[in-house]
Amino acid sequence: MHSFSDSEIAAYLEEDLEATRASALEAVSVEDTSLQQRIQQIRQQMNDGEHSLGAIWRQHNLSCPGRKTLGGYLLGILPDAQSLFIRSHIETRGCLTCQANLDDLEQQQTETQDTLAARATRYFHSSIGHLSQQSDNEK
Amino acid sequence: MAEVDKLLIQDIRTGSDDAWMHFVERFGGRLQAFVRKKIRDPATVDDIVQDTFIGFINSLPNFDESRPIDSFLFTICRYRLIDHFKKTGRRNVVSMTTDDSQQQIDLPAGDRSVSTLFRSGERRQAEHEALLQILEKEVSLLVESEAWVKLSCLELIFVSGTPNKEIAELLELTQQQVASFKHEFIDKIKRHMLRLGVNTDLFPELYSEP
Ligand SMILES: [Zn+2]
Repeated sequence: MHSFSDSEIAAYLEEDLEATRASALEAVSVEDTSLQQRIQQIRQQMNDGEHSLGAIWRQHNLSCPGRKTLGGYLLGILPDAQSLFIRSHIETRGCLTCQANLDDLEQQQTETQDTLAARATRYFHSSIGHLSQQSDNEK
Repeated sequence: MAEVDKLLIQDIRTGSDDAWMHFVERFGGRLQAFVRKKIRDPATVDDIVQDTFIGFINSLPNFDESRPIDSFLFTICRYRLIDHFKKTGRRNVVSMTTDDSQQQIDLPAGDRSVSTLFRSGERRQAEHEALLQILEKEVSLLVESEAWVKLSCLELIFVSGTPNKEIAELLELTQQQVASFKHEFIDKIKRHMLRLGVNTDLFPELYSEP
């Protein structure tokens, strides 16, 4: 499946295309000049601020299931039809946000509390200074 | 945004350490997982997550609390990734097009994304907001009515741009059903837009056939 839709190219340019498709697009575009031209063209349209229904839908995660629903999906306790939707959303549409949420939910089960706490502490310390500065500015 | 999230954001705005810790605990894992899909080196992954959190703090004064935190954070994160790949020179598909027509490709992805947001002007912003509201409403109606197959079909049409034939095979629908879901949806969107006085010509997808 080597043809790429305009929506996929737009997603690629916004770092929002699923990893396998993104690599495929990169590989194909090395030789395929018409694909290169389409990438240019779509980039230009985005630059010009052209509206795209699909991009708005994607950027705002409009059909992404919430965390609780994703948890239910992992546990296999959702109705079949809804599970199929989520599978299509994650695997076929390749929603990166939901893939990340699923990975994170799985990690919470497998990683130790210490590891998770260490990660949070690391992120906390590397950013808290900016928050103090920001709230000082607002005062 | 949920009430509890609004409170959390309010506390963060006052500079509360506890609130910020709670925030990074809650969102750190999913952001890390997101960046890991694109970058292997753990130190670089952490750098980008950190930059995302800092970016969030910096945009706090402009953060619209009616919007979900999640997609806002992931948007910042994607911009950080675009910047990163721009610096490291990977993902330079577009610059591969030519070495000799460098002028045409000098718009770096990072600048482009930011500029699209800010320079499109108020009118464009209003059109975008109008379409977002309409889409939000229509998608949530599909979720509420548990129309899962239709929702899959529509997101493959509009978000992935998958051809009707492929969608029909994937979802075990006829191509006619796929086409009729699409038309029905487009009709609804157009009607909402007319009601809001938004020019439907602005959205090519409401006209073009695949
Ligand atoms: Zn999703």
